[in-house]
Amino acid sequence: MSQLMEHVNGTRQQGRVVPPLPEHTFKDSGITIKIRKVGPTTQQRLAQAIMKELPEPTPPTVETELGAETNAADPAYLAAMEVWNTQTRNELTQRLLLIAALEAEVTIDDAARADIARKKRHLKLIGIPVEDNPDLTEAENEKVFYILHVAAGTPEDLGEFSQAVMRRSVPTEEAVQSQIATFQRDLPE
Amino acid sequence: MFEFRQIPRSGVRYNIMLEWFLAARWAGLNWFDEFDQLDGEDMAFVVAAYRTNMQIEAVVQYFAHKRRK
Repeated sequence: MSQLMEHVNGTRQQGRVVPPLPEHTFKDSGITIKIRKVGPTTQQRLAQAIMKELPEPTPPTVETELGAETNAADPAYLAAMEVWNTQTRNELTQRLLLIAALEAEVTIDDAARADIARKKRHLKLIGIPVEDNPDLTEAENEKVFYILHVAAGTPEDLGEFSQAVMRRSVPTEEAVQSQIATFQRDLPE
Repeated sequence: MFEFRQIPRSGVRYNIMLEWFLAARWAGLNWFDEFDQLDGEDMAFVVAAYRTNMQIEAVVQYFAHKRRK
């Protein structure tokens, strides 16, 4: 029974053994954490929430011989779309990283707390004070900071963490192509 | 989630998630209770099988149409 309890990923006890959470080791810091997937439905809901907060720019309307028409080639509109695309992607990435960090499992011991304090102090010294998220508990803020700023010591680490969670969570194009290669032969000429 | 795929020559664009949803339906998997719970690699297997099947269907249809002409 104790073995069953250890392998339920901490979410639901359904009386069956589920595989233990996969581990992810950050290359530069060498810290290992356990990750959970962020399914497509959650990601879609996140995208919808962001689209509500940051509405897509609308193209201007111009009067033509045929009446009022939208001009999707308007330079100001194209520039606004580019900014919007960047903003929404950044926002989605930030929120996915936050939820991935919240869902991950890691033990925050005294050594980890010392690392958190050191990193926060260094960031403050260079003019980047880190504010805790008021919507999170103290333990959650600690975990998120530890994963995203201490364990992910470099931008490469952060990128690899994001990719590791994505590979577990959605059918990436790379994974789809790799599967296709295993069972498709050339189409006829 | 903000990635769109364009169908060659038609200009039609669709969110990549549409293909995942259609693949799940084609495989007879419930989106929320089954597909969403799969591991990414297993989802990729379903999407790859769906995409290959669609391509084979298109080729078969093309040659059938050619023969009828």
